[in-house]
Amino acid sequence: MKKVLAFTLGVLTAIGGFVDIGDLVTNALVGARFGLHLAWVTMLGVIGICVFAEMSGRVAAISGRPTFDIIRERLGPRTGLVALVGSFFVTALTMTAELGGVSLAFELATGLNYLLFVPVVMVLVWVVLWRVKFTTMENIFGLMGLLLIVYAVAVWHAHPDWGSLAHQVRVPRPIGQETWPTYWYYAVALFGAAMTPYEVFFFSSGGVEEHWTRKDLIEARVNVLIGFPLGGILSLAIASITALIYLPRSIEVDTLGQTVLPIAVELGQLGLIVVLLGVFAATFGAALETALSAGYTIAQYFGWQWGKFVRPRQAPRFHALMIFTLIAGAMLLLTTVDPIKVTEYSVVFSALALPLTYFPILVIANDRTYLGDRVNGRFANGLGLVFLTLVVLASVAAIPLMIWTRAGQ
Amino acid sequence: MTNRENGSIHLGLEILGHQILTLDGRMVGKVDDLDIDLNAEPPIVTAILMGPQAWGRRFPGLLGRFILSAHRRMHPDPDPQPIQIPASHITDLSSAVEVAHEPAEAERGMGLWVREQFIDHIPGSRHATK
Repeated sequence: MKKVLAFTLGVLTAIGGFVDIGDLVTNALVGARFGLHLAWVTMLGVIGICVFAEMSGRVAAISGRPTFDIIRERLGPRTGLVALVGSFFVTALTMTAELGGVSLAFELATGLNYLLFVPVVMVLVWVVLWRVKFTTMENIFGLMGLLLIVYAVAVWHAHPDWGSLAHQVRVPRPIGQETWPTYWYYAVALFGAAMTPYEVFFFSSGGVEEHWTRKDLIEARVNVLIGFPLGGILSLAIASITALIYLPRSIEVDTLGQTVLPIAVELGQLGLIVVLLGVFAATFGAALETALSAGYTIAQYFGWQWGKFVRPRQAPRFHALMIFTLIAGAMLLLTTVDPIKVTEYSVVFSALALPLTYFPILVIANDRTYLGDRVNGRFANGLGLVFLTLVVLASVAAIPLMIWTRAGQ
Repeated sequence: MTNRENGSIHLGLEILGHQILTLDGRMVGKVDDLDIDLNAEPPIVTAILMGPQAWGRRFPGLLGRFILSAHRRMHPDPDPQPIQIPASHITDLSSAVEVAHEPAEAERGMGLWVREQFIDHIPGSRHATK
């Protein structure tokens, strides 16, 4: 019974923790402009993140080595440093976007300008990182993030023409005024949002934080293979509701308010409260995960002590890194840069940085000195290769498409 | 020392770049380089090298020179050398390299400075999380 509870809790937190500001904004934006004609990318991205999160979790559980250890070891100090600079930059940018998301959620709830909340949110995130146990932190924000199911409820409540939605999914092409380049630009953005590199840094390091062993392998797999796809359904629900409310009226989404407004339209005040709490939990939880990942990547590259499983003074550089990244992120937001724009760029740059993260994972997942008899089978390797190809294509296409479409205009 | 069936180790894949841990699981650093005695027959690995002076030497050109000189300027010793862990101190080789104890120079490095100047001044730094 206790085991079932642990499994359920793991899956629920995986669902609740899946959606972050990148998924929220990108899916809402794409839903409003392209309907569900890009839904296939979200589905593909979810399968991709499952494949690589499972591999990185397996490596962490059996060898005790998290993802950036492996990147440094297999790419060597030089290429590893390129991967580190890229991954750290993208992760810090994503963290900045999450801090902005939490602050905007506070603005929507109180009516006060979000900039007032930025320093407060930064300190709150730090206090949790400094004082709260890893598992407690994961469970609270993961479970609260489940409130985003309200998006699925709203879609159902809107009584959509299910046939038309299904038709949109089946016809992958731009609609109305939209062109092929912008279509592909947002395809790359959605792919980047679903496969953000910090997810594997966090997932594998989290496995070490929670002292996974061979015995926890099944639990880790269930979390990924059930939790992430269900989390992906929330992403699709977000795209569906904006497709239903905004697309017919040609309204574009460029604020966080517009991503929660459809819930108010469909479900009224109570729905609005629930969705605001859900957005808060999802972005706050992701701010914790990205801040930790910023510390994990650098500490793991240099071999410094990291982790919340030791006292802060035993991992001084790790904690100092998180503090400086948080301060830098908050300062960037206080320049009054638009957090939604930061989010949009962070997902595209994620796509750019993906290959250097995923290639070493695939190599190590085949290494018997790390995994013994638990190396990849043919199925995992086949999927891994397919997604590595896709990840490279997305990475190569990201910047040219960004310039060509002037970042999706 | 080795737990491989045939007793041979691929230095590039199984030691270089790996995490160094102490017996009680503390993370010390990375195997940045190896000291090999080529005069011995056959050549033998005498020590693991780590720290900025070992890491910086892995970068040829301007970046490497910058890393080495920046570290030299911050170091009390005018000519700092890579931190050496004698091969005899290696107690286990798995996905990490386990060593008997943390080298004294590594303990006195930047980590200690960050701890004493910064982290120890924040309340709660000595407490485990709840």
